[in-house]
Amino acid sequence: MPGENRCSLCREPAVVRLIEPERRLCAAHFIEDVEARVLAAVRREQMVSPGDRIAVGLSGGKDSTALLLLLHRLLPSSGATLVAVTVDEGIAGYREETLKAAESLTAELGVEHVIVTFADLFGDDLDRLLTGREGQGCTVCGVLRRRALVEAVKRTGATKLATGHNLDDEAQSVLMNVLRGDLPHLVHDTSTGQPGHFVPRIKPLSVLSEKEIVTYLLLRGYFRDLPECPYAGTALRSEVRSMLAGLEHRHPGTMLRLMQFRDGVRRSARPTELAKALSTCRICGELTSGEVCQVCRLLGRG
Amino acid sequence: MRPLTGQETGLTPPLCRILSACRMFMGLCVQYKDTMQIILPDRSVRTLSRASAPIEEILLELGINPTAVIVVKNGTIVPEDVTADESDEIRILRFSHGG
Repeated sequence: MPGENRCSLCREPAVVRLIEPERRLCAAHFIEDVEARVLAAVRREQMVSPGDRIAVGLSGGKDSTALLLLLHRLLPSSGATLVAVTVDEGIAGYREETLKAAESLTAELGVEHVIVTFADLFGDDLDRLLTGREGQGCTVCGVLRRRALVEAVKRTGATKLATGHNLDDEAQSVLMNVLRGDLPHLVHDTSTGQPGHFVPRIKPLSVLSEKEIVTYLLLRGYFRDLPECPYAGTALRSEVRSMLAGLEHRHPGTMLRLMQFRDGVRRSARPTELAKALSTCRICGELTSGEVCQVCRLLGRG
Repeated sequence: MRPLTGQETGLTPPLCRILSACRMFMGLCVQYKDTMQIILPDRSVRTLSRASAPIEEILLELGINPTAVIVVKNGTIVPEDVTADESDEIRILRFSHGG
């Protein structure tokens, strides 16, 4: 270890070593550093405006827990208000515990909490909707969950939706889009929203790695070792996750550089690239790239 | 460890037994002194016969990517480049994905 493991700011024992700029931080200064970086990103990207009602997608897992804790601490000064929204997909042995964690957090913080269920919105819970196609769990759930969040946001009257996507998630998505040759998704920016369909989405945690988020939760006493989703890890994402974790260790800063690459591509891409591909679903009226949206197709409505 | 005999030591049998027990106790102390306890993410415990090593090196030896875990040394979170010494307890926390 080069030198002593002491905080670069106060000489207390350090709990983390960070790069760009290279520094070691104690628990108190790491918490400050995390909050300052998130606040700087919120301001730089103009994620929040005075009067905004921000719906926080709260699954009860680590990222969304950190998101609500951070926004609850940082937003009062910006003149915005918070409401938490949770989607209960109906995944036995998984969702019960995270739902309980979400309810206990909103009660503790005094944040309004709205819960929508797959059973209410789509007629059945995920476990039953997946009967006979369990291998497609992540894909089916992803499509339905996005729609459920849109519905939850409508019910709350929120002006924006904040999600807990972290730096690892975002870098993985960039690499997956590159590997799939999917330029429209690579340049697609959800932060602007689609009037009448989607409110703008903001991702305040995209400047923090998964490891930094867990460290933050551990230090603030909010980390819970919750079960992993039984449908996780079947997709290309799990391969990309392992590959990127290895690259990040051997070449620190890889994930940040991937995000800079994506931003560069977005700036130079023509904005009409995706817009011309969108129309409305003839069954439910939501936006789609074809005649019938993915939700209606998955539910066998078309 | 083989018990000592009166022929080897020139001592009476009771004294040989006491000496053997002392030798065994000292041996165990030396063995404990040069080991560190690693508590893996699945909560199983590995004892490594090492006097001192950077934690990052230990993680790589165990096939664990340091960016995917948090290291707790004697109850405190530490960066992976700190060194673990004999009799340290190292707990490795792997965070489940999603959330």
